[in-house]
Amino acid sequence: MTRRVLVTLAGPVVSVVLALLVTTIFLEAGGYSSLSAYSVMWDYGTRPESLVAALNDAVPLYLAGVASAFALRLGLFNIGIDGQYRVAALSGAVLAANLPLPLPIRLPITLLFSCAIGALWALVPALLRIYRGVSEVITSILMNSIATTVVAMLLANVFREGTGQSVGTAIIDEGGRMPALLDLGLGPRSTISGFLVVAIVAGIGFYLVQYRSTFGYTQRVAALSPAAAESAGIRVDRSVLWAMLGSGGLAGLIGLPHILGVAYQYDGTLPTDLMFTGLAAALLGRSHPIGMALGALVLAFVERSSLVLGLVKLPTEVGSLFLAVILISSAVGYYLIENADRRLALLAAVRRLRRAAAGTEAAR
Amino acid sequence: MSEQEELVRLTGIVKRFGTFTANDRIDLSVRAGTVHAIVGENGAGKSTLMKILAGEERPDEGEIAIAGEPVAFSSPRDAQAAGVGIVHQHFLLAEALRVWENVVLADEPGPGPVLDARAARDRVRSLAADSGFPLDVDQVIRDLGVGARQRVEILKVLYRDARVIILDEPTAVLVPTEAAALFAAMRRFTAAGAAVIFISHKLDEVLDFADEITVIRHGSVVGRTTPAETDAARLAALMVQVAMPAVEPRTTEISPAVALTVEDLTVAEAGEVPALDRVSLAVHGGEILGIAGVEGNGQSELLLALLGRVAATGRVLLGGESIDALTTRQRRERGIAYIPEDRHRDGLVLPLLLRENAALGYQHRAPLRRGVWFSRTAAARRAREIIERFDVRGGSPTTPAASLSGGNQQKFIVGRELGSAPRVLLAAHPTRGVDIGAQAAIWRELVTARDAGLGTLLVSADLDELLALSDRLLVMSRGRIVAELDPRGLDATELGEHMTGARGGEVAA
Repeated sequence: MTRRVLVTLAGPVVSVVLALLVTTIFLEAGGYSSLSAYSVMWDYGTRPESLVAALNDAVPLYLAGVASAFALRLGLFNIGIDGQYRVAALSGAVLAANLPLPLPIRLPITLLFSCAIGALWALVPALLRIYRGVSEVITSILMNSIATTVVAMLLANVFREGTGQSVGTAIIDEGGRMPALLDLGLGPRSTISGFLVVAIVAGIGFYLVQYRSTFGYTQRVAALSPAAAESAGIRVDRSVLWAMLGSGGLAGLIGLPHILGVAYQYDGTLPTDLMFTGLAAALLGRSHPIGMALGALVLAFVERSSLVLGLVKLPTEVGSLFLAVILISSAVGYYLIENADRRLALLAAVRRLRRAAAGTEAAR
Repeated sequence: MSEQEELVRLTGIVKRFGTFTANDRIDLSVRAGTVHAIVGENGAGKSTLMKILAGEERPDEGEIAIAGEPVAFSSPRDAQAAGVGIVHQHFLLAEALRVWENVVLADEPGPGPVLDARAARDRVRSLAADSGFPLDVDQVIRDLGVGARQRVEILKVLYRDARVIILDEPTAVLVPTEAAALFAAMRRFTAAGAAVIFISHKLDEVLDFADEITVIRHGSVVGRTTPAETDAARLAALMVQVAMPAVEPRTTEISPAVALTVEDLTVAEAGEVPALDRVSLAVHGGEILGIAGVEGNGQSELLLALLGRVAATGRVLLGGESIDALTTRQRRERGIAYIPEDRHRDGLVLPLLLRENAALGYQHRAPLRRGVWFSRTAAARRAREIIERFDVRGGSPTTPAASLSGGNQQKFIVGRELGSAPRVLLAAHPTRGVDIGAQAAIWRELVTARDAGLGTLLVSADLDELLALSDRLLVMSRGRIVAELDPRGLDATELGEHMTGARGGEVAA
């Protein structure tokens, strides 16, 4: 148990240390003082309003991480999360603005509807994979391009509200917005979004489904040994289908914190590329719900605190560089830890064998 | 013989894994032109010793000399360069490639990065011909049976000019005629000056074909002898101190009720020769129906079709009820249990704990399923029951399946499949590659289940096993049932002749 916890925590730590090392070399080589850069970042990042912002930013990253992990558990790469959440966000924005229902009903319907749209967008690569054997990576990348075009067309011709420069859907009124969970009273933008609850629920749900349910068991068997799964009456094609649908459904939630909590409409401000940062969170946290939460928090903290660098005449690229190294090193760290884990497991097994052997000897 | 050159000398080999000593000061000497057998229980350290000789493991202590030259292998490549090659029990072949491509893989002839395909293919073909292997070098591995795959593995070793050829349990997967062909090939290699080292559990073949025998127990050499100086009983005593398994004549009756009826079962890909061709049979309650046949003649397909894993036409009745339209899961829930032929691929999920493996195939049923939840406590209880009742050693519910030895893994699978009161058991090679102790235990359990009324369809390449356990025997050839035999009074040689069509007109073309 202790070993498992240590191994889960070691991944993010190794990655962060590696990332720090590389950014330090980069800064020093450029003639900057890395120490002062870090202290400026730390001071800014640990201000209460920065921490609140980082926490809120971590929510969509976490959702993206959980969505990636849902497919990763079966060894599938759902690279289509980007398209899935953009299509789902547009659908959710339109529904939330037009549904004449009170908040307690409208909000859950919006969330579920976005999940359904995300899952539907993931259905296409899933079916192509099962019936035609086409790699889900390729088809989901193509589905991302289709999403870009479809969203642009729908926005320009169907759901566009108002005239002039701004291109966006109708504004969502109070009855469709995600309420704040907590207002710390530190001025504007110091409220913790209610989506934190959604993220926590998604994390717990992920844990229960993947680690505790019969479904999760069949996913694990299908991932590790398809032949054994088939012999045991587990249909591997169904496993693939559900993994992609679950991943797409979770992906449907990623854009909503922005839609229902920041912009109150679908417009050009929806962040793109949440998937890759989310995937980094999933790799950092080794697809474990708690590990991924730590990963998402670290990434959001770095992103937030690097904003200050421009003000003190340091290269703002430090933040992006840090994230990029985290992405690469989390893959490397993942590999190193995985091996260490296996070696430890082997040692433990050998120790048990020896004890068993000693037992038989003694019995003679 | 004493004049022959000493090709292999191992002195004081010690190999430890953590604090477990797999090899404890082993000395071994093998001369050119001889066949040397290594015998011992599962987990005795034979495979580790062979891996050290083949450069796959490094010894912690001790010296290796090849043809008098001290060597230190840091990889299998080094060992190959010194003329040592190994054929593993589990084959390492690229399924999608042809025979010759597999043989030359990683040692392709030709200038630089260019492959001289013609030269490679010709060389492999002449090697096969010289070895007396009837192999089509252009066939894709996927389409080959186990025997043919083994020949490809041997060709890989010969292609690298091995003078020391190591075979890890080569005959475990072969029928007697194939085994005889293998031993004939071994003789050709030794006549050409090579040394052959083989690991085996089958004492009669060791006595028939080896020149020298080394017995290993618990990582140490406990005996060095020759076939002339010993016999099976003495060897077995040295190995395990357990008697060879024997099955008492049955005292219980076969039930008149049919447990499993198969009518005209056919498995055929469009435009190909059917893998299973209109097979009909019936298994009664309390009966073990043995299926004999050279491997690759439809036995695997028969079991997979009955399990619902491959599509088939025809009729299958389980206790009178048609199960044709049912999925694998539904069939298992109606009482079909399955011991797969490849325990690593189909029977266990090696990285998962024994707890999770105890639930494999039963995950959708109470008590392992509670509502939508997987019950870890019920699975752990099930694992503990299997471990205790079937004497699975070296494991607990929270150890990974991979940490068990092969024999104990197999006992775990047998225990899992028999533990849920099935109506019909589909058993493929239930004791393949396990030691005598585990074999005896598995046979005992199969007989106990039979006496309790279980209908068993037993496919095996071990003819002694078929003869010892079966109440009736069917012979399969090219996807068809070609003979029905009474196992009483039959011996393995006669059965082998039936299987290869050497006897009578029973094997229809």
